[in-house]
Amino acid sequence: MSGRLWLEAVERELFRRRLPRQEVARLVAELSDHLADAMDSRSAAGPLPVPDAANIDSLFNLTEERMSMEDRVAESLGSAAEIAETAAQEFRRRRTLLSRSWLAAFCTFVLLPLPALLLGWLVAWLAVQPIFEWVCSGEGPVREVTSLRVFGVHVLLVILVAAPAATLAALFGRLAQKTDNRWWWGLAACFLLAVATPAATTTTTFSEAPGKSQVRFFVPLYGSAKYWKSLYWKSLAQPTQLVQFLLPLGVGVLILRRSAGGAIQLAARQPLSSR
Amino acid sequence: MTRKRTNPDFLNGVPELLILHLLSGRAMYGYELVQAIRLATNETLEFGEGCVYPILHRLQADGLLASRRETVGGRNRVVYRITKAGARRLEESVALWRQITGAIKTALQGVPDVGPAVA
Repeated sequence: MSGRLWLEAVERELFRRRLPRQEVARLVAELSDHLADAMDSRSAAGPLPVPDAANIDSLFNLTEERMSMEDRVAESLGSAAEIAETAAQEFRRRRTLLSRSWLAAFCTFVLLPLPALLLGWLVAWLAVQPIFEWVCSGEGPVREVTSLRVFGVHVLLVILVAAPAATLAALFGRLAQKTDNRWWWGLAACFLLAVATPAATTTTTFSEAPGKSQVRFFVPLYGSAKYWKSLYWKSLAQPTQLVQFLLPLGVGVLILRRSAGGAIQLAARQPLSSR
Repeated sequence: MTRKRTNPDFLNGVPELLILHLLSGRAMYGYELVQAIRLATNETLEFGEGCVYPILHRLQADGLLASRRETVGGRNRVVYRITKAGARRLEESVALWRQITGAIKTALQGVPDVGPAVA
């Protein structure tokens, strides 16, 4: 296989393994340089004879010799599949900024969870608001306050508060797992989410009179330490708030436990690799 | 292409160690580095030369190496050099490697015979 064909085969294999275009271009360029260097080096070791232009056989032999030299060089570089497989493996092993920088990890796993939770609650509230409006709407016939309707609203409120927290705990846990198995960062994020989630309170008022039913979702964004302390201990005394505390923590621990198993396997397989 | 390569699983981490060690001596471009590995290991390690580049790219992405396009021998080449973080990693890896080889050497020397307990 000529050098050009070999490079094309490498490029195809790299794209087949879904490596980024920029990475493929860089690797192919460097392999092309390597190929040229290896050809130069072999030519210097034993220069090819100067062809006799009049003799077609000598030209043919020279081409054949050059092709066989290219074959040998390509062979020493490795097969296209072998290089592409190594490239894909090494690309997956790369450490991200999160695993290298303490500051980036601190910003992501300590500063980001609470704003992300507020955003999650806002999105969840906007998603379920039409349902609450329908329940509390004053339009249409007088709505009967059935126990099913009350139960349904309460379930929706629990989902509204807990789902964003649980989803974020799973995301931060997974992110910690992906970034060099730094599980303690993931645990810190899940703990912050667990502490913040019970602060969200909901109140409901049901009335058969149109427009009198109310569903309120309240998140205290500021207040004195005393206010927070009293709110917090009162909240945790209620089973719903306790579930709100335990759910993100539980989801996070579950995901991180799985990643800790992976880390142990990785350490056993790669004694000299980065940890 | 039926060359017998050294078992890559068994040598996990070795190319990285060699690359960091050789680049700690001086900056090199890919082809030069491959030749340096050959010479340094007495051609004991057989590997696809092209496989060095993905490792170099990963080490650079991890901040252990830095690269720059430079003209060497009249040709434009990507020259790699070790960073401070790379030097630290090299120290750790060498210490770990010595610890592992020491442990294996001890194990291969054999476990001392422990005779049955006499009552």
